[in-house]
Amino acid sequence: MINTKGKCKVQKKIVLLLDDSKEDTFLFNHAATKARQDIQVETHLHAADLLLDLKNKAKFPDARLPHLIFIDINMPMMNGMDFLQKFKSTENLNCIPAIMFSTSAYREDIKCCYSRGADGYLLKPSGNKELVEKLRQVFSYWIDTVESTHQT
Amino acid sequence: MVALLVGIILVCAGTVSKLFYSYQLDHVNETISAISRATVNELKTDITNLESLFLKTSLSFQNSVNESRLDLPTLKLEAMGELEIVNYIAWVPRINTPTLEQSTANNKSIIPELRGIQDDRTPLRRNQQELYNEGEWEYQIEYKAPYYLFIQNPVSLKSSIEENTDGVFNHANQFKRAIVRATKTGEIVASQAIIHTDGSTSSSLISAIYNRPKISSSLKNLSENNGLITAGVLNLEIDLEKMFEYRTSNKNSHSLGFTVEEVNVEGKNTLLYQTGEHLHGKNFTDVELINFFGHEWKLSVHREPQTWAMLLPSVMAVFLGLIIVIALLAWHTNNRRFKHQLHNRLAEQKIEINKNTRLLEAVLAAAPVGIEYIDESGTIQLQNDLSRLVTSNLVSRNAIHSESASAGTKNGNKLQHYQLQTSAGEEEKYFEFITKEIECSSEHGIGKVIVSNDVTARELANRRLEGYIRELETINGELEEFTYSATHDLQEPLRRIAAFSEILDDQIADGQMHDAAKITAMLASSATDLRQRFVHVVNEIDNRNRRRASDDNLSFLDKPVSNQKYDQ
Repeated sequence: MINTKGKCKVQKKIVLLLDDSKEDTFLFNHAATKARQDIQVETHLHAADLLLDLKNKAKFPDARLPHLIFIDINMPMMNGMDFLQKFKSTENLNCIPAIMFSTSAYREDIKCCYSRGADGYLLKPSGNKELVEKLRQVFSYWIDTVESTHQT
Repeated sequence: MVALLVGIILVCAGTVSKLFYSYQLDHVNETISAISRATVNELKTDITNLESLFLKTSLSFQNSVNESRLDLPTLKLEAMGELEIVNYIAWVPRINTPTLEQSTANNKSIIPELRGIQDDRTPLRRNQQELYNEGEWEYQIEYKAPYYLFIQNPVSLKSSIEENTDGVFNHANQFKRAIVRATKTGEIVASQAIIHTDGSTSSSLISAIYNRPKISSSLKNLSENNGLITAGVLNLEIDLEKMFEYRTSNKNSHSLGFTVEEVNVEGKNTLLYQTGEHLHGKNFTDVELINFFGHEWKLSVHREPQTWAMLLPSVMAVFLGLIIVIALLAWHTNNRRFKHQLHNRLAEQKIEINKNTRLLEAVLAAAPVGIEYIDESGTIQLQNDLSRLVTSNLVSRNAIHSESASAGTKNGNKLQHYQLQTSAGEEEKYFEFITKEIECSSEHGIGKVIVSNDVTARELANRRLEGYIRELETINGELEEFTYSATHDLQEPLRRIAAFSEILDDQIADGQMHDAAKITAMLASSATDLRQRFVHVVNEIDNRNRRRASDDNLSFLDKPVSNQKYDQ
């Protein structure tokens, strides 16, 4: 699908963030736009809502699915790991790279995430520049370096 | 020696006779040649008959001798071949039968009787005729039957006796057939000669020697009357005697004797010869009837028992019996001694056992644990009071510790923990049963010794300890959880504050303050969040400290632990 309305002819890649904290969402959005111009950040605060939304979208082959999804672990109701498990067990969604985005550096948490199908684990850095640099590397890898299932 | 003697006698007699009867030489020659010519053929045929007869006779004799178990020298029959009568004597005496019978009726010993006969037979010599021939001569006595003819044949026979098988002989001009029996030392040979009588002045009549009852006597008589003929006759008897003497000496038994009796026609036996001492009137063990020349002879051999040989078995038996008796006595005494020793030892062992039993009872009574011994059949053989108390109050044996109950084998001992529930429903007690399997001394079964030990205090302490351990584990878990959340909760707002400050700082530096207000607001909310979280953590720590302090007021061991919580 080609976005004819946008300045840029090239369609922006959708990067999805699931985080219950507005502050973190703002920070991520800020850093992501700084890190790369050709992405469109979509943020969600509720895991259950997002999962439902994505599942609905996945039913349609032409739906615009995110290129990357960042998941926070510590969330009320459904936490990041449960979301990850359900996300990775859903057809058409499980091919989307899922990168955990958390402050928790516990080995158990990291192990658990990878075992449930996480494609990466990104620690929330304390500084903004640091976050920008990390996101740039992550985007560079997942968007430029490796091939995705999305149509170009 | 006898043969030599006989030989000498023969020669002497021959010489004397030659000188004495030289005037009748022509007549003798004539007679002899006539006899020889006529009888040679018949003689040859008769030789074979004689041989078979003697073979039979000697075999029967040999058998009889063998049966009397004497080591006899072999009896041989010598085949004569063609008989060449070189020198012969025909002596035909008349037998005075009544005289003989009279003389033998005394029935004492043979030799004196025969001598007596000799005297009676003296008139017989008056009637005898003597014929001479060159190299061969015949002595003939004309008399009534029976007649005796003795032929001396120096070639093959030492002496020979003719026997007329017909018994009574007629006088005139007949060929007479006779069987000649000759003896040599250790051998009996036989021959036969046919005497032809021409019925002349001195017709030679031949009668059998043995076909009359008193043959032996006659023979003896003859032997006494004429040296030459005597030799032949005596040889017969001497040889028989020698034979038996030889056997006797060979057997080294002086008590062996034999008697030769002639079976009389009238059924009355006549003693002919006897050797050995005091044999007469004794029982003869081996009695054989021997047929010699168609006449029956009774040969009785007597052998007295050899004392030492007879005694040997009995001596041996007595000796054996003595040995047996001695052995039995020895065995008996040994047995008694052994029994006595055994009895003493048993008594000692009984005392020892009693002592040990008392000792064991004392040890069992004083033991702080219950001890019982169960034999292979499951019967309780030994039990002290404590064990009795435990088993009587034992309602159920519940394994408390499954792992120790199932596989608590240590040094061959089975260790089992049981919970004892008393019937009265009193306080719970715990017992530890240590079972050791032991081989029973009596049988091949396996019994066991069970030691029951009251481990209630230890068990309760263990349980309490386990409770504390579990509580500590939960506390530690909570603590860990708290620490994690606390650090995480405190980290979050701090990180945000730092990030917002940085963004704000950058925007101020760039001069683009379009969303500064928004950032500041978020900064402020983050700060508030941080404060709230901090307060929460501090409160939590404070609460925990308070709870810990209140728990520590209780003693560690006295703290009650609910069983349903920890016993799983």
